[in-house]
Amino acid sequence: MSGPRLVRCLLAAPLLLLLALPPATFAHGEIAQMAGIRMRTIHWFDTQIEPRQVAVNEVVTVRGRFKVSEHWPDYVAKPEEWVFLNIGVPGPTFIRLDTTINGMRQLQSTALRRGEFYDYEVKLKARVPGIWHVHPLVNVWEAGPVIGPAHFVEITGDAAHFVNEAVLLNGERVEVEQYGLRTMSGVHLVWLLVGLLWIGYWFRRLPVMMRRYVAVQELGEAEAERRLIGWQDIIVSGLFLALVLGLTAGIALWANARYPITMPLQTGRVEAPVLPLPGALAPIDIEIHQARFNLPRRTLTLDLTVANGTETPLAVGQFVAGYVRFTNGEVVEARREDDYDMVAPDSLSVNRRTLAPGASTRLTLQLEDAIWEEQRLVDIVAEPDLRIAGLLFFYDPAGNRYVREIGTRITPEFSITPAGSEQLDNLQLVRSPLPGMRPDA
Amino acid sequence: MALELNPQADAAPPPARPALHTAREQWEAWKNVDLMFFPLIAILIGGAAVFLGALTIGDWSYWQDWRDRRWWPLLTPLLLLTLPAVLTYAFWKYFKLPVAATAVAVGYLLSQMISRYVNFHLFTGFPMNWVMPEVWIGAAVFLDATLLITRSFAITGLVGGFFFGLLFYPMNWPTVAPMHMPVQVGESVITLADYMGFQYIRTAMPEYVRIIEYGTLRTFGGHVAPVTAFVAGFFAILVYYVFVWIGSKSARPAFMTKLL
Ligand SMILES: [Cu+2]
Repeated sequence: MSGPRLVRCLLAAPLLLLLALPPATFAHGEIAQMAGIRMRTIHWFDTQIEPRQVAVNEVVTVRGRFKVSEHWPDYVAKPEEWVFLNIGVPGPTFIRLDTTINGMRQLQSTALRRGEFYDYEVKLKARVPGIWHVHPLVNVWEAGPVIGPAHFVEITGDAAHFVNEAVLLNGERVEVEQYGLRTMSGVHLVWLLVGLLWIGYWFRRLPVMMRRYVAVQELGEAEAERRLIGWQDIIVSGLFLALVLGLTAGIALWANARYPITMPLQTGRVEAPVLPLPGALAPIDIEIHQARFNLPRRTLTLDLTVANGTETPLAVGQFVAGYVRFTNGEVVEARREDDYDMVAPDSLSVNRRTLAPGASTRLTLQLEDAIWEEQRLVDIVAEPDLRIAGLLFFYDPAGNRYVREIGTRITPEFSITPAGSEQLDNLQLVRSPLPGMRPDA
Repeated sequence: MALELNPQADAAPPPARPALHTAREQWEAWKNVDLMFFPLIAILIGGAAVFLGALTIGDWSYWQDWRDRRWWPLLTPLLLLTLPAVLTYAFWKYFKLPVAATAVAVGYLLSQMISRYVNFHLFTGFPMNWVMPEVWIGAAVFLDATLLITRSFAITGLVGGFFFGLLFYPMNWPTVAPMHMPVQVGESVITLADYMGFQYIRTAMPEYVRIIEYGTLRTFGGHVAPVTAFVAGFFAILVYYVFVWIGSKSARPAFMTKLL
């Protein structure tokens, strides 16, 4: 990882630690999380981040689908409590105009149900020029961010031309980034003046500190108080007390008149409706016999029996675990758009081209790609819970898509040809597409 | 202290000649002590206050959508009062100067403005009206003036401490009122602060992490802010006493005498 992209994406975080730590930035932190958890929380698919190049003030739409895993780890806080559909970008380089989940607007937090599919759409308005890595993500209360796949979006133009206008409930049209700023700075200035006057009064004739210190040392506290504090000091202090009370009341009353109708900060949770995904209802049953992860080959091998209860032949086209997609090049067309793209094209192979309708078929699936390493998913062999989950996508000759989630314990293999894995070498891999099958977006 | 550590001090004691020959010279040297005090306010005391604020107040101070009627006006003044109370002891005991709280508040505002402008606005890109710090110089002046008039930590805590907590909310009302103007977004009406919280993306700060007022069945006729202000006042009395006591322990005469 090198070059200005990385610099932009990564520089923000450590530099911010310098003074006051605003917890605002985010970069490629996704791979730092435990692989097993990343593969068992939210499975992202159909992600679209368009357009990829915009000018300041133009709109970018992030949309897609996800499934909240049925295999959500017990030791991770549950999404049924509080979650927030968020965007992972370095700071407010975009502003968020709108978010919907299954068609319902989500200005605040929500809840998601394990086992359900959700459609989401987030509209962003470009604000700061640069090349930014844009992720959808879901913050889960007490658990942290669950990150989705990302693409780079380039914003061109001049940040000074950014506008964000809003209409208040009273009809006033305001420039959001300026509204109230003069009131706030004015109030700060008034009080700064009062503070400086008070300090200035005590330091009006130098020297002050040493003279008073020596007086206290030589005369004792009681006598020094009598000599150092006169009636004038007491009267001035009384005036300052009155000034503080008067100014506080006066400015607050003025603010009440200037901003007459206000309301408390709004809270609460709006839960999105659950809408079934058609392809998720098809009668397909999957039984997992064995799952092995071969570390040196970066290969996951799944030994399954799939009962195809539909009336059409099916082919295995795609496996989605967390934000990573493994595709079968014979069925689903995919390509990597940049070095950080979280898709592994043509990495899924299967020893049966089709699953006949109404029959149970034993299959061996192989997911072999460097993306296991790039996204540090290989760590599953070194984690306390050797478990993964993911979505298997099946396609029929008409191009319809069917989805099932699978979840299983895995057996790690630490050498290339472990005993008892001969069937790996005897795979009859699919090399030509099914007739009538069309590529997936 | 430095002399004692000098290995040559025992072998060849320097001639006992004072650096200052006349009262006039001493007077001028004393003025320099004062002149050193002012940059100290801005850099050391202000920086320390901002650092303490980042550790303890944090998000309530940073973001407008955390400035509710229940937690913000209760916790912020109590936490802001700690450093002034600690320093007040030494400033009063050894100098009879009622300026410690105001010095911290002024330093805090100046350092905080730099931090918000450079870190939050220029570098991270948040609008300034969204990250303006709170204002509490008036409450600090009130505390200092009370100490001067009463010349007693006990009464200052009771009166000045109470008003320090009580005045925080009305004093800050002008800095949050614009942000509490309602905006209609789709079918819901939310405050401008909520709306900006939604718009200006904070990846690591989802909406639900805000520790702010939610509804409760135990209300005082809906007067949340005044009740909170009074509660803050009462707790501030206690905070003042505790931290003045800590100040008395950390500013022992032996330490101060050696330093000066
Ligand atoms: Cu990224």
